[in-house]
Amino acid sequence: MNEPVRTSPTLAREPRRLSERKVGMGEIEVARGAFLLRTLLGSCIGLVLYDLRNQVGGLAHIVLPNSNGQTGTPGKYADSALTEMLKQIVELGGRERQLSAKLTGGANMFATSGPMSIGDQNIAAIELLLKSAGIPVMGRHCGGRSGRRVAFEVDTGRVTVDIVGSSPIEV
Amino acid sequence: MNHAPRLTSSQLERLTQAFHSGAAEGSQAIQGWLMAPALISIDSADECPLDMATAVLGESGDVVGMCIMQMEGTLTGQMVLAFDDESGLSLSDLLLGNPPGTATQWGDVEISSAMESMNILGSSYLNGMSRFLSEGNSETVSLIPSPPVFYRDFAESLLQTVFMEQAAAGSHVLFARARFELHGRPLNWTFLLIPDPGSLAKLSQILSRPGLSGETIP
Repeated sequence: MNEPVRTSPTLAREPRRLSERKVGMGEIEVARGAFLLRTLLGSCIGLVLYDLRNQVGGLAHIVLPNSNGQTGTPGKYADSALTEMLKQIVELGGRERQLSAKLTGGANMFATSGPMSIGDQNIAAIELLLKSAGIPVMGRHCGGRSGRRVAFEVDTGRVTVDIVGSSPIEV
Repeated sequence: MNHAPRLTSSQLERLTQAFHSGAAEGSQAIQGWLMAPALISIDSADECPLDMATAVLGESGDVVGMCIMQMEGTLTGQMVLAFDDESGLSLSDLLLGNPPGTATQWGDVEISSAMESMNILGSSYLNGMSRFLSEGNSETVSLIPSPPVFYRDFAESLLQTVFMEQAAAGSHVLFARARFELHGRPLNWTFLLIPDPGSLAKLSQILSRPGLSGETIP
């Protein structure tokens, strides 16, 4: 199982006025400029892609590792979510070659034993896809047994993770 | 991938009756356990899109306590008892005969109170459902509860995991939601029963059998 990788604690900073959007289960949101994209994760994965130079980025709330050809809800599956996000980011003026990624989520909430949990499968699938696409992963906070509240600032690429009972963490 | 069948309106109607039967038995049991007049009523039994289901406990970013039991036997799935901290801790005060507000954080005793309450509620609820679904049939619909487990986390993070099996099989999820009253006043507890996708097919067959209460003539 992937253990949580803790990066730096969030440093106090001036609050910014950002337009906010919530990203639900299986959804993708892409924005340009001063936007804050939020989601809540359990075993699902929050995939953040961002192009800092053009200030375009997106957040996908991925539920399962593989679409097996299903097309209805591209954000639900790792493979189709990445394809769809790339398309939407480019449409908003982002450039694929300038993209970086951050990953959060993939918890084994109910501590199942045995074969890989769905969270672990999701992480493995997305990492493989990002590697194939040549997109570097600049930060991650994955695994463990706790839910995560995730906030992504599109124009800075900053990702903050809240866990119940812990201080916020910047990924 | 396993695709869950959608139930017809008449099947949903009968399923709601099965949930009512579970709630009636659950009410009796929880009344005896709390030694106070208690009522569990089915608020809804419906299929809805996944994003609506994960908001069923209200604000998705709220922190909730949750006791979860597995349903095993003829049908499989999960049962959930969810509450905010104040409501969950008040349960412990009630059971221990302490004035309201005595318990202020989740320790072993408070968690144990919540889990035992869930054990009694979940077991009696399944008994009621099993009795209803077995009516008029030679085969008993056997529903067996597992021991409960306690979690405390973001409501939506927990619900995503609870609904994961059904989410993997389709875009809609089926669940029953019950609400509670104690001494005639509503309590901020929510009980959910979520069949897994494999059970939805079996459930569809069971609910189509002649002889089940509430059967309507086509």
